[in-house]
Amino acid sequence: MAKMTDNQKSMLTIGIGALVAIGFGVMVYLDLDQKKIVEAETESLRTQRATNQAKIDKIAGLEKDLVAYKRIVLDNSKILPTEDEIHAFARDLSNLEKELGFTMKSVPVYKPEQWPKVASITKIPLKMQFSSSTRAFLKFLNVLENRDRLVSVADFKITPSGEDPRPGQELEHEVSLSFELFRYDPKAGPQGAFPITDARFDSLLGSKEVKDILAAKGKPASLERYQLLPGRDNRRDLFVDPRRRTDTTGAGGAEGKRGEEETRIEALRLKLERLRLDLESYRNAEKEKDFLRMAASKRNFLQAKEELEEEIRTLSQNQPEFTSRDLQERYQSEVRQPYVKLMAEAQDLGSGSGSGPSIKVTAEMAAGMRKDLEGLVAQRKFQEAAEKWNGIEALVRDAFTAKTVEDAARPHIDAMKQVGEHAKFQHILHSKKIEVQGVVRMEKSSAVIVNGRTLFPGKAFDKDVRFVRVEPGQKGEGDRIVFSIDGHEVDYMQPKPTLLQSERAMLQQD
Amino acid sequence: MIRVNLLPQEYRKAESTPLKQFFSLIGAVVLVAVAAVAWLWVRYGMLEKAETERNDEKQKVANQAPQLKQVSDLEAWVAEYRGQYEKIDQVAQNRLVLSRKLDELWEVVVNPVQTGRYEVWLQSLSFALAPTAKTGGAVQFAGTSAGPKFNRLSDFHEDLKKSDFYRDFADITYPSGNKQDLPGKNREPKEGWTFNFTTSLKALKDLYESRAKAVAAAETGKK
Repeated sequence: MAKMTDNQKSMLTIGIGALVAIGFGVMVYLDLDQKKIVEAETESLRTQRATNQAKIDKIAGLEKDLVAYKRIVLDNSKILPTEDEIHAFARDLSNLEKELGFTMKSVPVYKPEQWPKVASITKIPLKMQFSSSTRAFLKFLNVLENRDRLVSVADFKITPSGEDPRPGQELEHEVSLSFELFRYDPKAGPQGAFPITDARFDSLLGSKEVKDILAAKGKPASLERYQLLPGRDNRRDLFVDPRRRTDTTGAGGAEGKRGEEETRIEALRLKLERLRLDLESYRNAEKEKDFLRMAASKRNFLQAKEELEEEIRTLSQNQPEFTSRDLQERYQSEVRQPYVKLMAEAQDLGSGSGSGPSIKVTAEMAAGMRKDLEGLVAQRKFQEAAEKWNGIEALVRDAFTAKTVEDAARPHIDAMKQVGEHAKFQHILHSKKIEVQGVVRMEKSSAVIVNGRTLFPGKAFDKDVRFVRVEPGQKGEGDRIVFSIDGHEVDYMQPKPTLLQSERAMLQQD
Repeated sequence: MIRVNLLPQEYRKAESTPLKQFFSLIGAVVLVAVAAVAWLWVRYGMLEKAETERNDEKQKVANQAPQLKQVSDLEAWVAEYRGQYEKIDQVAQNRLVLSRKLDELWEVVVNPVQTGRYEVWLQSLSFALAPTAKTGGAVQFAGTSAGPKFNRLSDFHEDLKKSDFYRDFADITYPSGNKQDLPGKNREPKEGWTFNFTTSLKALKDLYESRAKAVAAAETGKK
């Protein structure tokens, strides 16, 4: 190999140096490139961290949202039935069928439909077919829609029977009805445990933000309830031909029938008038806060209403109710329409005798009645007190049945019961025409001369009344002669002779 | 003059590196050294610092994971409850009490406001709720108006439109029908008009809102 010249060596040295430097340069280039990548990653991570942080910052708000929405849903979901309640619903259908008098023909198998994205609510569409009178169907529909848990009726179709009804019978029509139940399963929902502890839930529930959400969005999912129009139990079936009949036999027969019908309308008008008076009396008593008169008027009203309804029901078995058009129109304008109007005014008195909403017995009302009753007994007006107690007793009985008695009223009612029962026994004694002619004071006890008979303690005055003892009366009073009726002690106070009415009366004899 | 060094090789004075070669070597070394320093600065001064920063960020992001899971859990639960809230609201909104409508229709049919204004009975009746944005469904009923005069049917139609029943409806077909002899020899009148009406419900959402307003107004009134 030829020896290199110095120039060549120099060139070689510089060349090698340059190559190495280029190598380093390449590494620098690659590292700078890598640095850019790393920096981009870092930037991306930084952005991600900021995004994450923004999400994390929402935890407090999300927790409050969750607490608020859970609270609202817990309240609002009360309108939706749970699995158990759906079974109870099916049982109720059978009971309603019996009670309202319709005939179920088919209830197809239902297929629950899960609602997308909301696992806890399932829609259950149901379709029924049955035979029913319009009246029974309307009642059934109303009961169905007024249930505590939501039933949403989607459609119904009534195909009338097309026949004329027999007297006293209602036509049954073919009815198909579709409705939906919405089953609520509180346990369904996202997997895993609820992310907020009970203690934190309660503490957040009290926070201002949660309260604000509840105020803004926590409107109750209210179920509209409908009370059927009052006084319409006897209206004619809307599917029945109401045209008047012309098949009356003979002119005399027609005249006689007309006379009968006129009398009937008059009788109905009188009953309606009585009903109106009872209602008026109830309203007056209500204004004067005379609770006893209210109770009595209510009883009378419901009784009169029942009688009138019975009459209308009997009459409505004929369609139309009256053969002559003018009488039919009189019946509508003078009886039916005023009756319906009256029933609308008297809606708060309830329907059916004794089954309507009772008067609420408050503590204040009970205290007032007790004071009146005790006042009468103190004045020894036992007959009046006994009658008053009878009225109070009926009022209170109704209120207890309807559960409209305030707890604070109960002690007053118990006290009135004692006073009222006592007044009854006192009244029995006072109705016996007792005349005390003298008191025989003995060493240990006293005897009494009543209606010419001397009675020692324990001796019977008659089959109901037994003499017990004599008690000295209070200042200014005569002796109290104590008797017993059915084990209940009552007393008799003979009025003082006129001469002894004065506190300082003196009987002097020369 | 030519000078010849005759000394044996080992006794000769050592030859110095030629300057050219020396400088080229120095130059090469400097070049390599500068390049190496530059690389070292880039690798350890810049890249490693960037990597450390990245790893720190990674760690911080990783540290956020439990809280993010909490967020996603909370979001899922909020979405579930919000969904339930909206569905319950929707269920309540899409409900119309049909017993009310049937009761009201019955009343209009059998009890004219003015006695004897019309005499009508129905031959079919169907209610169907079909909630859309504009309408809530329809009610169809066919029937007969007794009497030869068409105006009695028109009176029924007029009273129907003024009634409580119609309050929730947006429209109804105009009165129309066919005059027919009615069956029943012992019945009067013997002629009548058959009709077939269709009424469209207002949007259920609107009905729900107006009901809610009425309830709120009633409650305010009570207070």
